[in-house]
Amino acid sequence: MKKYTFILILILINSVLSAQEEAKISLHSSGKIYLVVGVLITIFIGIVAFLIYLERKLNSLEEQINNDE
Amino acid sequence: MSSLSPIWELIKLELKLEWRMKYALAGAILYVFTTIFVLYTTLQNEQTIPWNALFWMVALFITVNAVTKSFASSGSSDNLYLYQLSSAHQVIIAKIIYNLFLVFALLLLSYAAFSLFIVNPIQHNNLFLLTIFLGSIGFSLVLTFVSAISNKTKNNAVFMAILGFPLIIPIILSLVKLTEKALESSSKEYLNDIAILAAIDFILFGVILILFPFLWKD
Amino acid sequence: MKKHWWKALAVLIVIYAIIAGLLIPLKPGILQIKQSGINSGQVITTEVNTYNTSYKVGDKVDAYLKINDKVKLYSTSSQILDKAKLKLSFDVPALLPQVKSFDYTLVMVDAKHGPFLRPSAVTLKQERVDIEKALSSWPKQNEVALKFVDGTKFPFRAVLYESIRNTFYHVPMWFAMVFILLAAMIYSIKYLRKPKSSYDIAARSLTAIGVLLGVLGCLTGSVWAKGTWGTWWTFQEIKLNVSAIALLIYFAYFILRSAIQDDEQKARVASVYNIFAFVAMVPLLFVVPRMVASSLHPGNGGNPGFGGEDLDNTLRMVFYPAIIGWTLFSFWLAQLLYRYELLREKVEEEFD
Repeated sequence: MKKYTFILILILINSVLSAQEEAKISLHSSGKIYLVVGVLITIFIGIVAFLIYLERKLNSLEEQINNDE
Repeated sequence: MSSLSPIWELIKLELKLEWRMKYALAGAILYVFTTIFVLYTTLQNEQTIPWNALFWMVALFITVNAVTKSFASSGSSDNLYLYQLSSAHQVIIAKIIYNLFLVFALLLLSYAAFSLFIVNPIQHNNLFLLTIFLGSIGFSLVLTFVSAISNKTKNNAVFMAILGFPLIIPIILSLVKLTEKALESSSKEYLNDIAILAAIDFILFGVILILFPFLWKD
Repeated sequence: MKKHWWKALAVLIVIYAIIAGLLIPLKPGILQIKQSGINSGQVITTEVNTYNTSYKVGDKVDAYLKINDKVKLYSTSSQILDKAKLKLSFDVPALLPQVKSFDYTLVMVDAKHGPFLRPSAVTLKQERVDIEKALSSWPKQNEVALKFVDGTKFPFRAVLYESIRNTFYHVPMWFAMVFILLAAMIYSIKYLRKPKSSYDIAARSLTAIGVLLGVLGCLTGSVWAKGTWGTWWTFQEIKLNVSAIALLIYFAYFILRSAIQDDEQKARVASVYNIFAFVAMVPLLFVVPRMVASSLHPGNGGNPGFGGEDLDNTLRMVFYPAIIGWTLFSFWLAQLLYRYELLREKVEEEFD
């Protein structure tokens, strides 16, 4: 389950990044809007990284509780 | 070949021990990173003469080594008795004053050595001496306090650098700025910079007075 | 549900900052200019590429070069090629009341878009300088009134262009970091006054989120710098150095924690260090950058600060809420971490 979620997240990030690449090509000459997209994606990835970190910690806590019971 | 295999096993053991104490590894990495970064920042900010930044970097490394042992040697039982009689404030103030003189003497010595062996481009000698004095106050405040903290860990020397270098950067950058003015022949407005440096020293001193008793408890 | 209202507020404000920050258009501006000649005493045509304009063939567009504070040189004709491209011609007199070679500001004005300009846009050279004669023989021209157009729009800045919107996403990371670390310091003080382990856990969780925000501030700044200054990171820029050092101070906080065995002593020493770190960080972030002569960031090196020219009212309308929104949002993240750590401590106490 964990593995699939991870792969799913990877695919998501990848698709977003490739969308950014496309945006770069069409908008580069005009307005540098891709920079805003890049910054927002960076923040989003940061929040996702926090969620993954918290989830892993929660997993180990759950394991601990289940084992001790 | 057989005589070599125990060495290999020992190396593997060392690696295992190192890996078990991950914080020591992270500390070493941060140590390298912090030192290089601090050096680079100070040297890069300086556009005119590298003498200035070089002097303060040398000063930093000398003083860190001098102050590190501040809390390390508890000494004999007589000394312990003296510590028990005095309050935490008295202890920290005494240590700061002692370190202030130590650092000031070391800085004067390195100034003399610099002018003897390299060059002395300082135009405003009095201003530079004042800068050195204000710098000694800042160095002695931060480093004495950091040595009190790092004494609580097992890795005293590494923590002096990890905790001390980044904390001392604002002081060093102000010192470099002030030294720049002492290097110029036309005396520019420098009272503002002196005021900022003095204010930083003053605030740090106040905070240390408040915080030190919590470190001195045990 | 009652005590969660601020999270809803955080989400609403961040959504507002994203939607308003992305949808409000930029004012028109001048992207590029191609000039046919530079010598005075002849007709010079310039092909101007504009940004965010919607010219139609037949629109009347006025333009002038700002020669000096008093004198303007109006274009003699304008020809619209495209919704964002037009040709202007200037009948430049032989004598200009200026120095030999100068880059003049081009101002464009029309009823649809209002006035907009580009400094140092058109270069003109003259053979000799005679300001007196140039002024007396200056051709008579019809003054065109500058009519401003209403509407909420973000300012157009060269180099930045649309990326001015990053003001709402990059800068609040730093503001939120300072607020979060301030809260961490307050909990550290609380711990020293009353050694409850929950205070220490709160301080630790807040510091962790503060570090996350600092890292995000660095990374988003890096992305922005790559597109505008052309480099991921530069040591010439004081604010970058200073923020990296602030991060090092707080990385050291976690290493310090891991290096002390005894739990009670760990919490106490960490609290002491946290307070001292914040006090040392304030001059580092707010005083030192102002002492340094030049900076690419706004508001340093003797500039009037983040206000005035750099931040106009339409930007403020989104910028201030964005700071509040991201800060509240970060507190939410910190609270999640805090609750987890609290739970783990309880579990460990129960099972040990």
